[in-house]
Amino acid sequence: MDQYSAKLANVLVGNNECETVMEITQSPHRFLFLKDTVAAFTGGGLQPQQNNQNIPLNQPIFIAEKSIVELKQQREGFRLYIAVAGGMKADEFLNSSSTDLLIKAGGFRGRPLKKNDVVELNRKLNHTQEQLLDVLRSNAELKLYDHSPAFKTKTIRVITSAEWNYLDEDMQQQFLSGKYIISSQSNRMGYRLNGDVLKTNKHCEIISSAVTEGTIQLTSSGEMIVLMADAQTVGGYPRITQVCAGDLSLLAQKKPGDEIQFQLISLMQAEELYLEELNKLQQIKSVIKQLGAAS
Amino acid sequence: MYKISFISLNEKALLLSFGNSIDFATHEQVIKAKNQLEQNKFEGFTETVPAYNSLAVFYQPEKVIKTKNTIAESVTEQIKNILATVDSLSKAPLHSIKHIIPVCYDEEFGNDLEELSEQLRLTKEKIIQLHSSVSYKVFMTGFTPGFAYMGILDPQLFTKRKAKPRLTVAEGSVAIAGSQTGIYPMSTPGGWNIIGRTPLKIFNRLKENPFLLKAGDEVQFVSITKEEFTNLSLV
Repeated sequence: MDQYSAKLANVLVGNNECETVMEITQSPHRFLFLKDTVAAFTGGGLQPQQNNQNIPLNQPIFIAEKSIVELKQQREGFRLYIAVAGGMKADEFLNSSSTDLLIKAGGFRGRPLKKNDVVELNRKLNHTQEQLLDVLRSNAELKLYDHSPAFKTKTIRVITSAEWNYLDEDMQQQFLSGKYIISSQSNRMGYRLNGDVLKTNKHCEIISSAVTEGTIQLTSSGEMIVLMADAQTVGGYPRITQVCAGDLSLLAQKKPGDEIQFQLISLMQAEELYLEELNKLQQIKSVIKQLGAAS
Repeated sequence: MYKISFISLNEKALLLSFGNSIDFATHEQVIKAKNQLEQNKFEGFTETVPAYNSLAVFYQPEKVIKTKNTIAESVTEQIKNILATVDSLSKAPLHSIKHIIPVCYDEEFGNDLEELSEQLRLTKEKIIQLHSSVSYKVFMTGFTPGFAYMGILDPQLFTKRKAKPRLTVAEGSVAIAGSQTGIYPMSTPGGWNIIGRTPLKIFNRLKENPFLLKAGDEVQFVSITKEEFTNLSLV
């Protein structure tokens, strides 16, 4: 869901950014590490701990063989990500190792993880990762990323979409000034929003056409649905706006009951935000690479 | 070529719109544009999502060669250039795959036949005959993986969706709604009127290509008996 945190966790441990990571939303959890590991925790919601000591987030860390890491609910945000150097072994389906619970495909046998499951490494560590393991094992601390995302922010930036004109000017204003609560009827496919309903004099139905993650649909009741990571590929509701890629990760860190507001930006700004994010990951990548080359 | 309008779906996708109706000619343009873009990929192209009168083109913004103010404008220009060559092709007939799909219209499977018969004032036999006497075009897939939206039905079969969708529709159920017909690839909730069931697997995740049908394909339904259904299910 929070793709940025997932990618960040990967690059922090020297993986390709699309390696399989673990996404965790509910506490408590306890993990036993079966061998010396370079890991990174990113995202929100849970705080990883070892012997009741907080493990820092957003940096690569060394976890020794036979250590136990516990996750406790106590931070802003909703989803925690764990990446390990070498990645996690997972089933692939349609070029993705994400878990699809509906058709029970991908990930760990197409199902959520449960007690006593053993997750294996996907590949041997590369040279850089071996170096990283050695450096971190000797108690060095690597702070590569001191800019932790602000999950408290309520503002979600959007761009106009194909059916923005289904709202008249007043309703467009109402959309942009309104406060919306993420409904308990939300899941990985979409977040339903509670708040003042939007009225349109147009029929809330279009000839089914493509939708994607972040598409905000206006339903006939005047309520909105924000499509999320497991969204369908086509839909028949008007697409009024689109959450910009840069803020989709922030939205994924919101949970039912959280309040959000929308802010309109231009497509050009949205493209810039997207490239900025990519750039940040690129910078971390090159630092990690240099580290491997230097040692 | 049709007049196409371009609008960004997000930072990573452009939506191409081809007019405002559901008809074969419009859809053919969508599929031709899709084929053309897949055969002449621009830098950064990832995939397309075709629908009745639109085509979404997804790309990786960071890989696009920027020639205009925004990445989206640059992609728009590149797509226009690629599609400009379609003109000469647009008269050539589109090659499409035809599928023969066996359907058992027995009432055990066609849960809504009885009700439809009353509502449409047609005998069940007539409904079955009308449904299986023409071939349909797959306009798009979606809803659930592999659900094919097909049309166009004989106008005598046009119906509304069920007021209250079923919580579970059996896998393989063949259904109609509006001017369309479809097959449920897996057991899911659903609001279409169910008239039969196919023993064929429309979605099989163990296959390299898990989807039997894709946009642009043609489908002809063939009525089979319950016994044939059972035998085919065992294959």
